[in-house]
Amino acid sequence: MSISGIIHTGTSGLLASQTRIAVTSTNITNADTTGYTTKSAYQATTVVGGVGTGVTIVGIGNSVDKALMSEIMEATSSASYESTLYTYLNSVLNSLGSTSDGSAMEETMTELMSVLSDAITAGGDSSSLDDVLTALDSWTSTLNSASDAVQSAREAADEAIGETVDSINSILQELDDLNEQITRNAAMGSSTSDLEDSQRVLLEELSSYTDINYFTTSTGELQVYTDSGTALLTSSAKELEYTPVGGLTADITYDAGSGTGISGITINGVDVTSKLSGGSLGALIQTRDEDLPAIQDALDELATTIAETLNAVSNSYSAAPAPNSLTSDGAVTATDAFSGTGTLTVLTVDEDGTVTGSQDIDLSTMTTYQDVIDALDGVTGVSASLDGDGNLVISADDADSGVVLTGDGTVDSDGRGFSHHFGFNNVVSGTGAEDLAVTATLAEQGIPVATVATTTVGETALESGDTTGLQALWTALDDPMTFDAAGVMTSTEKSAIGQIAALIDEVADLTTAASDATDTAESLRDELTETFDNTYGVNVDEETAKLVSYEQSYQMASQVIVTARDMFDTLLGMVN
Amino acid sequence: MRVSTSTMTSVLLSQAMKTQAEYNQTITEQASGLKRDSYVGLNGSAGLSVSLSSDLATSEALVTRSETAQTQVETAYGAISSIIDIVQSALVDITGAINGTTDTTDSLQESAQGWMEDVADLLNTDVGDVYVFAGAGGASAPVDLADTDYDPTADTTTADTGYYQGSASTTTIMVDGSIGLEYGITADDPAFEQTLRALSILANMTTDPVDTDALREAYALLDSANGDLGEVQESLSTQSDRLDTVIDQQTEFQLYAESALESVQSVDVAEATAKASEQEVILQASFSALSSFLNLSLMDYLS
Repeated sequence: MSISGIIHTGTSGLLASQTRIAVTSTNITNADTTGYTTKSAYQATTVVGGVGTGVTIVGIGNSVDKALMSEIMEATSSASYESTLYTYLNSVLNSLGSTSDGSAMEETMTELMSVLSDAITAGGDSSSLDDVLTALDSWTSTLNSASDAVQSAREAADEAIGETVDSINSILQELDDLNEQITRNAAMGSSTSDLEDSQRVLLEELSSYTDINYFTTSTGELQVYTDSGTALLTSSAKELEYTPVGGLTADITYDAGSGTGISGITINGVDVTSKLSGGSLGALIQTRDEDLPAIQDALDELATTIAETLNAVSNSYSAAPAPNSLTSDGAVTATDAFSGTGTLTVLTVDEDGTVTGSQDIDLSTMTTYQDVIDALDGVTGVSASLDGDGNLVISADDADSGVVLTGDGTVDSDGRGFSHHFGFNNVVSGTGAEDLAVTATLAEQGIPVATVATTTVGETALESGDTTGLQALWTALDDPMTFDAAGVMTSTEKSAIGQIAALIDEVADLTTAASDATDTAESLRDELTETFDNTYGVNVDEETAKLVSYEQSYQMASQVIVTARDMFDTLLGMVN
Repeated sequence: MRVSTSTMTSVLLSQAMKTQAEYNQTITEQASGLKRDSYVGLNGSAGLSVSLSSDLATSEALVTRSETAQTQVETAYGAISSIIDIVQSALVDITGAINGTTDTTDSLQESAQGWMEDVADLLNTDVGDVYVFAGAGGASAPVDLADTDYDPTADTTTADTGYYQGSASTTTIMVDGSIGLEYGITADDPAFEQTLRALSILANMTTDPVDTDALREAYALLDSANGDLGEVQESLSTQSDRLDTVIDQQTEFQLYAESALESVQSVDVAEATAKASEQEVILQASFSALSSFLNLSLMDYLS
């Protein structure tokens, strides 16, 4: 080997050491960079004619465990999914009550029963009945607020879906840009490992939004698909489109293909909502379309069952003094067919509750609602007609008289008693928790408090101080009633308070379960991420040691050159 | 096995923060006395907590109502005792008048008028604006002797409750779904009606000559009323006992419910304190681990 060959070998050592020191210094300076992995410079012996002639750097990079990476993606998606479900359930639970403040739904129901009890003891005087009205109003208001809270949470979830879709689109765009750089670098033979670090960070973020599958083609291009195989990134990024609805109510729902209500998330006009599972986006869709509506259904069942129970009772009694007119709760179509059985007795009573007129109507002879209206209008001293809103109004002709409905007449279409069918003496009305309210005419007509004691003219039908109607309302709330299975609740027989407690308990249990699932999923994700980061992250002490070692290599290589120069000098001296 | 410097730092830091959060939760529990403000922290007892709160409020209201009722019943009992005294002195005076031991029946007639007013006043006794003999509601005085419908002397052999202004129903307290506890007595009870009718006969009889038939009739009525009033008192006493039972039962229930609610919602202060000091030690260890990791560097040994 020639002396110049030795110098050449020494130089290759210097260059290699320089490169390795450069890589190490990048490692040290990036020790805190998110997603950065330790890079190494791989070197090999240069061989010429079977003889080693120095050293050369053959590549810079690292190789990460692909299986571990995909486990991390899955764990990230699952942690994000659980924590999103928890966030929304918890917000609904908090709106239902807390340990220190108690539950408004329970407190107003307890208060309602308490003021009913007070009114019973007070013989149903006007101030105690005012309290009952106020308490009924508070109770329906808390149900309305609970329903509002559920729908606000749905709306928040819907808006979050819009934001998540935007985030996914921007990540896909960035990944698409990275793909371009990676293929270019790979073609030029440059290192792509730093670009791959960025790609991995983006993929991890993407998997927190939705479940993904991905692979890299032979040209180094990354392709991303949803868990169910819909392409998100191939040669270009597919843009997801979604417009949040805003002002969500219980009856606005997502129904694929219906074209109404909440629209789907689309790619090029194709609805892919059902393909986007897992991650925070999957959780948001699940929350908006399944979990929160299930709570809403349970609230609605609670509201309608209690309302139906109260109304069934209140329609068997009469306000005292009897109201001058009774108005139906809801419009009546005169031409609709009517079918009923039994006898309806229409009474007119004076201010003292004494019967001044009594007339029976045989419901089995009626075939349309118009027949019923005509029959009622035909009663002496009573007029019946539909008002401007289509409500049936029965009124006593004498302004000082009241009108009372009694008897065993029932309507076949819903099996309810005549008065209950029309809702003449309804205390609450509405179709669900969202709109349940004290019946508009209740304050004017008065709360039905008294039993109709007689239908005989001249006798007292409504005794003063009779509170059997209030007692029946109280008992109806205290006794178990049948709640059908709805949403999160199973079919059960419970008192009003019992069912309210059971509903809050169920939501609390779901929230607790979601909280536990979040903890488990997050600790799995953290553990896997920790393993990955510990394996591939920068250890500063390790790099420092390497730095010292590379410095020594550099010094050694310089020594080789110095030695070769001395050899040259010696040789020249010999020649001269 | 190797570790990454930055990962280790953040892991140690996040562990320390987690311990700090737990420590914070424990001292918050210690400070507030409550396990958690959210129902999530009640380990599945949220429903129990809600129904116990409701039961407690209902029970407290029931006890207040029962105590008020008891006051009314006891006041009524006292008023009836005074009525019995009047009835008995009337009986003595009538006996005297019949036997001729009393000089004149004029004074008896005067007394009867006064007794009638006294009995009416006693029946109009009120406690906190509630007339105890007026039935459900009890908002207005139950006896008005001047009512135009009231004329007991028209036919002294039939009952006349025309003076009664109160409610037709007795007062009721709702105890549970099936039981409405009725209490009190209304001023139209036969015992009071007979007393008033008898006194009215006395007040309106002819005194010269002495109407002994009227005296005998009044005596018979008062004698019967005397017995009936005793029975009314007995029934009031039974009502008072039942109210007492309700109050006792409810007070006992409240003790149970309060302790049950406390065990669901509240923390054991001793346990929380012990837990806090334990976590304090862990937190100190955690900080010290972080500190020794950060202070140890290869650089210090290379020279």
